Amino acid sequence: MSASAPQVWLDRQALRNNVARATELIGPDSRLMFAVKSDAYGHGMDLVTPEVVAAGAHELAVLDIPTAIATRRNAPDTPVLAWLVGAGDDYSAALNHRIDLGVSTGWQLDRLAELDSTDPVTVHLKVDTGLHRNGATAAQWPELTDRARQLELTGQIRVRAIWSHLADTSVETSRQALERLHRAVGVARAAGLTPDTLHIAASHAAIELPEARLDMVRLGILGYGVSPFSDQPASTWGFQPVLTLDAPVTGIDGHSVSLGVGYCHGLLPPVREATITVDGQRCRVETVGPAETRLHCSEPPQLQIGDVVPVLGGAPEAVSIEQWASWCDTIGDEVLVRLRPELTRAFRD
Amino acid sequence: MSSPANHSPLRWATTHSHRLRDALTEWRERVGTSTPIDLRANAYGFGDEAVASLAAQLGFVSAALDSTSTVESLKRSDSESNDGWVDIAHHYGAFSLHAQVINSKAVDAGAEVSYGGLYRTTQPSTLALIAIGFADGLPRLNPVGGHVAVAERRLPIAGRIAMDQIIVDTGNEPVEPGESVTIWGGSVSCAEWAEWSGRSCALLGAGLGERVVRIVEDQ
Repeated sequence: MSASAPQVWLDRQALRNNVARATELIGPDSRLMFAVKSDAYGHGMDLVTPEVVAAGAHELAVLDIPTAIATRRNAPDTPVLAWLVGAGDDYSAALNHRIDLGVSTGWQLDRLAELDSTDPVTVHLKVDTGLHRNGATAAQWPELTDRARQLELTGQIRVRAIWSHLADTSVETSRQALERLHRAVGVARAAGLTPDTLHIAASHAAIELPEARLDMVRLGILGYGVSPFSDQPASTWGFQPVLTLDAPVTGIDGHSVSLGVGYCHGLLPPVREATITVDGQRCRVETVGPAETRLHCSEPPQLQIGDVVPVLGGAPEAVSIEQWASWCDTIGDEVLVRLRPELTRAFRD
Repeated sequence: MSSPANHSPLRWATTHSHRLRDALTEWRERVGTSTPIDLRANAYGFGDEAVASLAAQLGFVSAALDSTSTVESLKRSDSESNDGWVDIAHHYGAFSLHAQVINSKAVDAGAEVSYGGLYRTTQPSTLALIAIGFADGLPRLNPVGGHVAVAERRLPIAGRIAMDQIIVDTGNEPVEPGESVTIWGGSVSCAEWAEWSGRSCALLGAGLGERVVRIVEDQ
């Protein structure tokens, strides 16, 4: 096989396995919300979304309203949660597309109150339990829940869920956050709200803290078979990497090899010594340029222009996403989300 | 300065044409018009159509282009090109990256902020949530740090940069949801981000994500 451009391959069985594995891990009492934000962590949202829904993911998480609406064409009937909601966003479009909204502030509720509709907006009310990112503080929470209850009574919203997000600093701080969530739920119920879903855990806590799984787990990085921990691979829990990035050989000169992939394709340049395996030997990465990666091999490799080299991801000879991330002094998430949307992506089967 | 109106983008990048023209004019004086100009990676975030059309007006003939590029104003060149214009253009203030404030709230002293609790408020303060993260091309700074700006006011990033969001410590002068924050290309420069991250401005610009709405200002 001869190639001239980099290519992203997805492993359908690995993706299905990960959904099944997550469902098994969190048990029958918790729903699985699969995160497809950031172009499905660089995998390609249009490919991943229908597959995870078919494999049994109950709900989907995206970031903002425009992405949520784009998700609808691949998941017409699955609940979709958008939770980064701005002052200038199109709330009526969200309602028209039956998008669940993550709401943290009174002004967001005011926007929902202005909508002219007979159907209520489904709301996940967010409380800050210590991450200090989105979510209402404990001081803001009573007023927010009272206001939400008023809007339920006038038929404008329905508070389906109360949720939060963990800092994953330690098991101890996660337990404290969980206690704060339960206290906030008490306040919400006293205000008359009747949420049926509580959720706080993402990949990290879903593994580390079983009591945080509650009614739903939001699975991001682990669903793609990449570990949320620096010291344990995703295979520890039976998750398999979904993505492989292939690149063509574009030049050979003795010990030097050029691959036709670079940072304009989204390959993050390493800041430490890094290697890529070609022709069975680990060759040192000299530079990652805009469109080309140059390697130095200790033996002249037997290769031809157009030969395909698995660079990153799940293929046996490829560098794992976690390994590349550590060479770039970052986490797998950043390596994945940088992969450019222009790259050709397909399931390999 | 382009600030968000109704249904405005959560994050956007502005290429300032008049400053870009000045920068390309300086570049032309250094290398002449026959050196191919490197416009790969969507002209390192500036937008290859915008840079190519100005470069063509200034007499440049050819450019290194992405394989997916639709630029027609310059001839495609495979010979040695040069991206030296990128740092000059940033120096001229020809590019700025912005995002919206989503939330702003008061917190106590000792509040741990973002993943891993790597930032802690030293006194009662206010925190602003900004709708931009490493999926949009911000480098995930390690160690944490960095600044952004609201007009002339420099504000520290509080803790770890997340995939979609950063948090900024606004002290006792909170900012309002809907306000715009400049990430780089103003009181905080791209060169500073390059220093904090070890990534060049060319690499930073090349990494800007699809969710960043591109605006070209002509005046």
